Amino acid sequence: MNTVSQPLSRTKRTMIVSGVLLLAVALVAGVMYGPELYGMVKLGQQVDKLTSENTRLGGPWPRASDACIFCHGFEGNARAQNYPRLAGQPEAYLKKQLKAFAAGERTNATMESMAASMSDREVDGLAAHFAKMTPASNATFHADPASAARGEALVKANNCASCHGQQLEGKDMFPRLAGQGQVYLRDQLARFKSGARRDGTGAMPAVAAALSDQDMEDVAQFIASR
Amino acid sequence: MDEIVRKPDEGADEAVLTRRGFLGMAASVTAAATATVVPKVARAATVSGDDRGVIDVAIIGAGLAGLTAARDLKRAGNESFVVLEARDRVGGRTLNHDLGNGYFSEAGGQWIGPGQTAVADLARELGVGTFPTYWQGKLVMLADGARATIENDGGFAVDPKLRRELEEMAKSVPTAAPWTSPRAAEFDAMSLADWLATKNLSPEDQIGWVLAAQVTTGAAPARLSMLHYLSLINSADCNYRRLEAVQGGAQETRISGGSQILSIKMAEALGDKVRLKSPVLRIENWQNGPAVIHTANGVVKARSVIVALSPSLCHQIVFDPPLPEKRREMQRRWPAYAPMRKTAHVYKKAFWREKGLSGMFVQLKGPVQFAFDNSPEDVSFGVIAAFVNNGVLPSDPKAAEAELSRIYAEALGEEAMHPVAYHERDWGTADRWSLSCTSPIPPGFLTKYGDVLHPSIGRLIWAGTETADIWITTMDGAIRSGHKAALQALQAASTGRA
Repeated sequence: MNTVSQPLSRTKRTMIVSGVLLLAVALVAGVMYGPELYGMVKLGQQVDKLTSENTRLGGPWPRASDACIFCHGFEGNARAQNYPRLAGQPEAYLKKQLKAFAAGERTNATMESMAASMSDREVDGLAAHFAKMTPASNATFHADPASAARGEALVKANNCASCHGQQLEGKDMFPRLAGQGQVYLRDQLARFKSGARRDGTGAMPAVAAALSDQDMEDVAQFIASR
Repeated sequence: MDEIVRKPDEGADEAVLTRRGFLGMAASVTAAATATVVPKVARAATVSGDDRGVIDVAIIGAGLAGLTAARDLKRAGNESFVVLEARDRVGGRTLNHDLGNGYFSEAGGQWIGPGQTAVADLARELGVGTFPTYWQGKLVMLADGARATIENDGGFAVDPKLRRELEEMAKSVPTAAPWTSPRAAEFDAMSLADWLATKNLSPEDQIGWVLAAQVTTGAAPARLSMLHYLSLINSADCNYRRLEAVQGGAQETRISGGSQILSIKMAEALGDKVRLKSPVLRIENWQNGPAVIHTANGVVKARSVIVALSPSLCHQIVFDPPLPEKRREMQRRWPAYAPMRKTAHVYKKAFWREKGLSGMFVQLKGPVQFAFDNSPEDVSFGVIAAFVNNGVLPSDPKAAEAELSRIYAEALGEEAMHPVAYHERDWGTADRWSLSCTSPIPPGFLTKYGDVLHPSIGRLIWAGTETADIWITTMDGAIRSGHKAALQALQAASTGRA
């Protein structure tokens, strides 16, 4: 689907390059004046700013990580609660998960076929990329204080920090949990409990087995708001 | 995720009634199906739970492909078939959001264009009207607080030299079997991104190319095989604009009553042949037949099975004995990674049109990929629909609606702050009976697995838009695949193998 029209596509490209050309093209187009012209210039500046920012964070265009934006957000900071945040996840953990999806050991229709389509080099590159991104706080989540308080007690009782770190920031094979999407966290706990998601160490199934649905909701509420 | 959020001042009763009306329709189909299926009356060549009954054809999937195949069988005089549908509705990857009073906005596939004659013919035969997509007026671009309006001719002007280069290459990629192209190995070794990377594009041109490919396939150019993308262009008569444009392209025309109406009308005419809420779990004895098809709602025995599903959905069915290794691996790896999330804001008026805006806009680095005017034909009210980045917009529908309203206000004006209704669907999380919208095929896939996509094995006939000879990934392709599958099934029935 395309939307940018012939005259404007040409116009746009040229305008953003230089002010002189910009005026010339505006005259040719014969439709630019006042606010429209200003909008074009401003937009061009923002496009350039975003382009250099994207290049700094993800390397030159086109970027392999662009394929992840739809669900995992820009720079791996998803804003929906039902998709996992990848920013700041340990590189080893990300690699392991992508390989598990590709092999069908971890199940998710989107991720299995996505990971299976990637070369080892792509997997390594993406894992390194997202590990470097700065995790943003989960600002779209608004915790229920009572639920989060119960969750905090459960997180302490289960000693989640022993693997996931004092700030639940993750390390090596253990994922970062702090600020993760609440629905995603709850679903993963449920999947560990049901056996739909496996964990070679056996730790997560054991933890999840003792949690009720309400417990899982509470734990997810607390962790998501970290 | 098929949410309807009404404003408090809106007629809540009306919303409930219209929604009930829609569900009521589905329920009546179910009831009819149940009524005729449950009694174990062994009508000749009709199936029920009866072990003795073997029908000619079981069709899996009541989307455009499966229903077209069923309709063709019936038109050929063969009544010995049943359509098994997992959901409580028909239409597959087409789905209407009910806006009330007989108006709809599509949550799934919705456009047709020149050369898509199968869907145009079907609409005419069913008495379903069509009307032009509204694109007149300016396009808005938003980037981090900046806003620009841009002239728009309903098309897309990528660099004509590059476009011609693509079109030339597409001539050697037959859409029905891209892997047979003399340059298949070369094209399948690269992604569209790899090719674009060699073209030294300005940031603005990058946006255009990416947006085009993304809205068509649901994936980023890095995950699109050049071979696949060229086959899509080949499908469109080797004309890039015919694939990607509104005016003169595959987004030119809309369907009165919403695209799902095609499936609903076909299903109505098929009556109790369509069984809803019957997901197929397991297919036994598919090699020599009769195939034994286990559903969550009874067992069906059939001489032929039309599997009118995407390969990813085929992968969810257990085959006993297992499918050949290569077919199985193809299904497992089939790209299901385009689970689009599509939204609709309903407004009292299509206010943007009066301002000379088309309603189309793009946002860089935000939740909105592409928004457009999806108002009804009579424009008695306005609709802005959008493809959004699933994970970039809050998952809570109320928060999502409010955030989009603010973005729309920036793009189209303050009036956008006050929608009268909001609808959305995230196809990746709504249920497991679609998984993904159209199929973005990655590099290396078609040359390795393409040749097992079409050929029937044993009693299994494959259908679904992915198997079309022309216009793969579109509604038109689904219908074409249904016609072809019906011919194959009729041929099998006429040669009397059983």
